[in-house]
This record gives sequence, C-alpha cells and structure tokens, in this order.
Amino acid sequence: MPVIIDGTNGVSTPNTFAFKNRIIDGGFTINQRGYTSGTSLSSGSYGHDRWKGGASGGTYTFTQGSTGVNTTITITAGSIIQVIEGANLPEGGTYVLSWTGTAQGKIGSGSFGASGITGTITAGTNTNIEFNTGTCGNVQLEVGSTATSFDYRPYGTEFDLCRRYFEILRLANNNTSNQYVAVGTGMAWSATDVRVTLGYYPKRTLTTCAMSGSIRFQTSGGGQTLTSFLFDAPGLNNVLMYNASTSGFTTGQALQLTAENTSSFISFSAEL
Amino acid sequence: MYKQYIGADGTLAKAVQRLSDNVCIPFAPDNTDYANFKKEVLAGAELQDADGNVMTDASAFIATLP
Repeated sequence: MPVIIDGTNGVSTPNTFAFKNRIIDGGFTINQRGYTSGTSLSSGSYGHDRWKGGASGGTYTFTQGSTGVNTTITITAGSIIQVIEGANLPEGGTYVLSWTGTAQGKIGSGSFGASGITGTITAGTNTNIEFNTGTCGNVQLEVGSTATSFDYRPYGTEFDLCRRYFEILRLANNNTSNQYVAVGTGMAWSATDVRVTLGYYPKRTLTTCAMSGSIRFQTSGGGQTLTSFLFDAPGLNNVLMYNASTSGFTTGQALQLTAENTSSFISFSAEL
Repeated sequence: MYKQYIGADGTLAKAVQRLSDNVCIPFAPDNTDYANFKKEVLAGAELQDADGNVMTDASAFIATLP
C-alpha cells in the first residue's frame, strides 16, 4: 500500500483516507433518471446523477456495470459537467483532478488537460468540473496536488449524496400479483380537491417538483386516475401535491395514492 | 414558457410552473431552476398569469421576487 509523505500533502495513505473525493458519482454508478447510452444531452440536462451536458451539450456511451461497480463512459460529443457545491469545498486552495481514460478534464475556468491536472478553488464556491471527448471513469477531485487512488464509498452512501440534489419516485408496479402499490396517503380536501403530502430525502434548497404520467387516488369503494398535479410550498424534504380540478370525491375522504403505470414518476430536484 | 398558479390555500403560489415539462419551481434564490426562470423571463420568455393570460409586465413582476 503506497504511503506518500511530503511537505505539500502531509501523510496520504490512499487506501485508508475515506471521503477525500469531492466528486459525487465519480464512478458513474448512479443513474436515477435512466439516461440511455448515446442519447444527446442538451446543455444543462442530466445523464448519470450529478453529470450534465456542457455549454454545447454532450453525448456519452456506456455499459452499466453491476450495482455499485464503477463504469467507464465514452464521451462522444460535446462535454459533460459536474458542479461541485461550494459547501463541499470548504478548504479552498489547490485541488487535483484525476480520472482514468483519454478524455481531458478541467477545473473551473482552467484549461483542459490530462489526468492529474490541478487548479485553485476558492473556499465555499460552486465549481465546475468538465470533461471533453474520450473515455472517462473513476473521477476524483481531492485537496492537494498529488492524485491518489479512487475513493470507493459505500453504494448507499453515494446514493444518498446524489439524493441531496435529485431524487425520483418511480410509480412502478413492483408487485406482480397486485397492480395497486401504495406510495402515499392523502385526503379529499373537497369534492374537487385532492391532496397528498410527500416526503423525500433532504435537499440542498427548496425543491423543484414534477409529476409525470398518472397516479390513482384510491378510495375504499373506487377512486380516480389523475394525471395533472401541482405542488405547493415545496420544502427541503416535503411538499404538498394536489389537484384542485377533480370531481366526485367526498370531503374528508381518506385516499390511498397508488401506482398503476410503470412509466410514471414524481421527481424532486435541487440540482446546481 | 412559465405560468403562475393558485396554491392549495387559494392564493397565488410562491412558485411557478414551467410548462415545457410541468415542473413546479419554488421562489428560492438558491434553486437553479428559479434562477433560470428569472433569467429567461427577463430575456423575453413568456410568463402567464394563473388564468393563462400572457403577462405584459413580466419584468416588473420579476423585480418583486426574492
């Protein structure tokens, strides 16, 4: 096991020091949006968690490894960017960016270069990490000027780090014998207004919410499938989802929110 | 295009709907979608009131937001 001791980095024991990597999903293991290999990403649109198309968009291909196993991507057009939240860059100073593959990367407004490139980051400032065309995997940004081995974090931890910025509640039927899988409870505020409170993983800031597809508000004697919802007072970890254009409900009636369409989802985003 | 909407309490929501993908964006300065909403409307993107009418004074409305 390599141990590096120098005047710049102090003691660095790569296989011991955890959480040195400021990149999230540097192994391209989390893909909540279900980005499909080879799909063109417009500028600002997200592929794997935390990675979005650059100023001119970006396209990359990949073969996803087993759950938690790092994947190498091939950026075939444009560039991809990860914005690192300033809260995760508290030290400031010199950072080194490393990765495996032929793509070139850069830190902030610096120049593209090969793995091991360094840059200066102001403490607490959101900072872009960008890669242009080529292969790319095991992306790591760490304090100092010497790149060390990739920091493998537990899959659940990496997933939670991603969920600070984005989370998707897929309304898929996961019960082969019964289509109605409950995902929440709500009530009929009136005959024309149904509401449900949804909770989610704490986000970076007040959250952008969206519902796509359909969901069923089930009652003991029936229910209705609804497709149009609004969200009120989205907080850091909960929101009220409602549809005030319904009919036929009974005021005060309890409702069971059930999934019935595998392509439907509710998303919660606080991306940078 | 963006649209204001009525919140669950019957008053104007402190959020806006992006009509291209029906997301609801809270008026939160740290929210990137909110920052983009303000930037795009000031650059000429359409903003509708809760009744669906195009707001002719969208820039003035943006100026009142946090």
